[in-house]
Amino acid sequence: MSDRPNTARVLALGALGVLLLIVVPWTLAVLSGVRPIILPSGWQLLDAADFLMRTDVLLHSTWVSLVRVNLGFLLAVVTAVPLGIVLGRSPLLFAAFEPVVESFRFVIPFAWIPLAILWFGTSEFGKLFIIWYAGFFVLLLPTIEAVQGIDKDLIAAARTLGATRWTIFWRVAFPAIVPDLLLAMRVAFAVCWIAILAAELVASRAGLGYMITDARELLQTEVVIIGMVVIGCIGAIYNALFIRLQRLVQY
Amino acid sequence: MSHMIEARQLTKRYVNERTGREVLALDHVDFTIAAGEFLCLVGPSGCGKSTFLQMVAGLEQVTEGTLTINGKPIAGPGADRGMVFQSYALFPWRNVIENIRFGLEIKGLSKAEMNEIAHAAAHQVGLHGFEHAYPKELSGGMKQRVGIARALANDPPVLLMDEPFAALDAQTREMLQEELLSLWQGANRTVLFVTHSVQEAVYLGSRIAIMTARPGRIKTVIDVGLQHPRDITAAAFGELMKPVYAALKEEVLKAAVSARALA
Repeated sequence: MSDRPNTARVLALGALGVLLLIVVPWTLAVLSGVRPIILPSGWQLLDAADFLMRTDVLLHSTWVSLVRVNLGFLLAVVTAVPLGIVLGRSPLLFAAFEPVVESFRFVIPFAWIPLAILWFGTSEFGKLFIIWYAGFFVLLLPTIEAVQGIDKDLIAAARTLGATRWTIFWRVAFPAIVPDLLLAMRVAFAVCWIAILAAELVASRAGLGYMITDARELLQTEVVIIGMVVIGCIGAIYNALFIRLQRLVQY
Repeated sequence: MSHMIEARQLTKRYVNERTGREVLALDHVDFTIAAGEFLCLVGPSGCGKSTFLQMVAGLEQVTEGTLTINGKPIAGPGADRGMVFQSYALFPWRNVIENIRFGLEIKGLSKAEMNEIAHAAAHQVGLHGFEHAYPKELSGGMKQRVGIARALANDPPVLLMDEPFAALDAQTREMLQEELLSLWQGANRTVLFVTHSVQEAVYLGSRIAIMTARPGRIKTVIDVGLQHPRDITAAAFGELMKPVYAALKEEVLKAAVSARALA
């Protein structure tokens, strides 16, 4: 596209947005005398960030959360995508699964915290369960729809060229749904990452979610905000990576 | 003359998924297509001509009767029958050569063999210079050239074409019709060509089979005695179109009446 603004301009506009939407109102609020416990100043934030870095709390929390979200997301992908492909191809199985799928997807991950604690205790499984659950349904339905939406003529063409079921699955159906899958994965990862906060409410001793809830109890507003900023930035980075990946497979 | 495709008392029934009603698409069709002939199948919309083609392709099951190729009953799709679709049905993630190569990959040829055959097929249909283009970069005419080359790469004795030029503009269509004829004349290949255009049928076919309104039967078969290349402006061409038109029009009217009766 020729009317797409160049990279430098995009970055400049982005910076301007951050300035106008966050930095300016924030500075005005701090200058008007809001108490630090309600909204700390930029210097107080930097100070707290420096402390969190020196004590390794921030990096360690981030690392723990990243490992969890990646594992949980991966679990969601390897369970939801194959099931979605099967359900997309079998109207009978789809009819059997539909009520469960259509009702569970409205029960948000937070609602599972009590059961996750009862079932998995303080183990890592409870946290993974919440993240897996968050991503699972977001992946399942688009996968089913992608499979149902495969052009019938593509399958017919492959069959007339001598393809077996297995070949059709791997060389036609799968590549045909990859663009839809990547979009679904992008959305699902975002939902998993959002759910990290819920997951780390499950008897946690580490992670960004834990850092935030812990800081809230100690009234360390700076730490809460730093946690929020890190979560937001990592989310944006992953989103950008998925968009890159999507561009690679635009047919 | 040997029979390539033979239908005996061929009947096809299916259940319309939307209405739940059983549809009789083909009703005891007796019909043979000789080896090496170019048979055009015309008929009103919904008469079952595409269903017949799909049954020959093995994509649709036979309900009753028999349908054979070279004397053997058709049990499913096979590389001995290439198919060309109106929608082109190209794999959008594969470039031209990779699309043409699809059937050869399934046959398990070596990479060198595959590329040699695929490039030859591309060259044959006028895709030279477009080998590495992706379908979305091609015009409709070029896409259908890929569709034809992909079917031909398998070197099938039978080529099945389901209104392959219906979505193309008139000039592109004429060009592809001519190219298809020269491809057919060069090889001993049987072509079954479904179309709703009488002119196309008379221009291409050795014989024209006209189907009745649903349930589909073969109404008449007309021999086209003209030599190729045919001149669509010649008086003899016009004379040949007349009986085909008349037979088709009768069936189109019948189809319209029964559609109104159902509505």
